[in-house]
Amino acid sequence: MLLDPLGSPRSFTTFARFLHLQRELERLSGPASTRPPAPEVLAIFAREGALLLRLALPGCAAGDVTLAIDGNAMTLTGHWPAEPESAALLARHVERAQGAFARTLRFAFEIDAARVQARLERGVLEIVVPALPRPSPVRIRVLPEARHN
Amino acid sequence: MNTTTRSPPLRRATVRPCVDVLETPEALLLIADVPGADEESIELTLVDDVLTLRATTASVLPDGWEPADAAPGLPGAYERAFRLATDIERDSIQATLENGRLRVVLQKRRPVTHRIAVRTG
Repeated sequence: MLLDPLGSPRSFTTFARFLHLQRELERLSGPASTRPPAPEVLAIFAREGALLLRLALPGCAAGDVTLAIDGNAMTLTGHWPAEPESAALLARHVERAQGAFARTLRFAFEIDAARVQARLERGVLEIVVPALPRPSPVRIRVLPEARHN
Repeated sequence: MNTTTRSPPLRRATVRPCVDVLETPEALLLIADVPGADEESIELTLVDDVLTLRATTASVLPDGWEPADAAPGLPGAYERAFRLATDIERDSIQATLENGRLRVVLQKRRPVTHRIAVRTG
């Protein structure tokens, strides 16, 4: 992966596999409690210099979700909205997530935060995560050994 | 979303949606998470005492993107059936879809009281 040129679809596809592994680790290492599950990554797409993620956020409106970028990390926070009448109703069967959630995804590149785009439609959050361009390589001249008198 | 409608090389699995069932004295409320589904694709059928929910998601691939193979992909369809233990008013079932969440209200059938005259022998 390190030898893949940044921005090639292949390197981003490889990184997508890493995201999958990260998700599995989160699932296995998470506490066996009633912590609400984090949004699931449904699909990952790649193109030159960017990834596109789709996450399932059923029931959430745009105002229920916040995205924060810090370097190569993107944190998604929000809450699964409760049904307004839930408190007054008798729950016969419960499977859906409730409460607050947070999920951090770490990327193999610095995120260009100014160009991140997110859209929530039909319970699916679509995020375009562009990479900051790498600085141009700098050739460093190796100086000859200094002479000591 | 910036999408096209050509057939994508995505996995299009059919999955069981997560569901809550809530109850009041008058009705049952069924809430199902079906992210990606649109109203036209929702199919609710009630045969005898079995309520079946089916929904499909749009088969779209973002234009100019290549799918990566690590994630499970957006489900192609949702399907789940429920056996109703309560008598339901079949003509008054209401369903709404908002933000990928389906709400189905099933009104309970009111018991019909038959007064039986008791005759003296």
